[in-house]
Amino acid sequence: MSDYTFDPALPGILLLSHGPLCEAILSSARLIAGSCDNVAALPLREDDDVEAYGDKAMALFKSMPEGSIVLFDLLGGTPFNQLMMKSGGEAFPGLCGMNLPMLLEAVSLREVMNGDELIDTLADSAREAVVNIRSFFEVS
Amino acid sequence: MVSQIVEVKNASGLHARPANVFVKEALSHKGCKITFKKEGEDRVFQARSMVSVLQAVVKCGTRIEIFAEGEDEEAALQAMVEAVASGLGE
Repeated sequence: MSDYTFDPALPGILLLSHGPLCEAILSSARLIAGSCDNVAALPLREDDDVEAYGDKAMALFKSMPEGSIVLFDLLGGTPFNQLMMKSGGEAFPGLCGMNLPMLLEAVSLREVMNGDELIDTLADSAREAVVNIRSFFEVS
Repeated sequence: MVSQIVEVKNASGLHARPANVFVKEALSHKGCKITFKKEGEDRVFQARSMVSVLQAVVKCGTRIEIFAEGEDEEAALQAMVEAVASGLGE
């Protein structure tokens, strides 16, 4: 059983990572954006059984409202691999390369979009958020 | 499309928390596209995107021109201007 209760009217965001990254990013997002309802973080711990972790992650995702999304830390890592396996080939909206701008964008934009549309927008904005700061030092 | 210039008075500029308030206000006007520019600059930023708002790097004292286009654009613009003028929750 999930420890979470989700508001059915708000698309959920499931954060999966190796270790506490997902919990830390959620904590940072809450500092900026407030409570972040319907967001769940499930870290893969050192001593976790990976199969059990995958089952738990998939059960958690399936308990979320329609239009919910998954954010992974790493493409090809265990959280990603497990959820792909547990999906049995059934497509779900997800994005790898979780970062704070991506989560902040997701938390606000899910009020007006969800699912694959939200993922497409997040992929673009997360790329834009990676910025070389050199230009800020250039004299205009 | 309507627009108005307003000065950002937050001591640390439009940093993450006020930016979040700014974005939430923009998102609440669902039928209206809201953008802004820093006065004297050409780059347009999307008010509904945290990433875009933060990329503007708006400092204290910077004047921004907010644009609203669509449903209830006058009301949306006024709400955005008032939100900025009132310090975006700070």
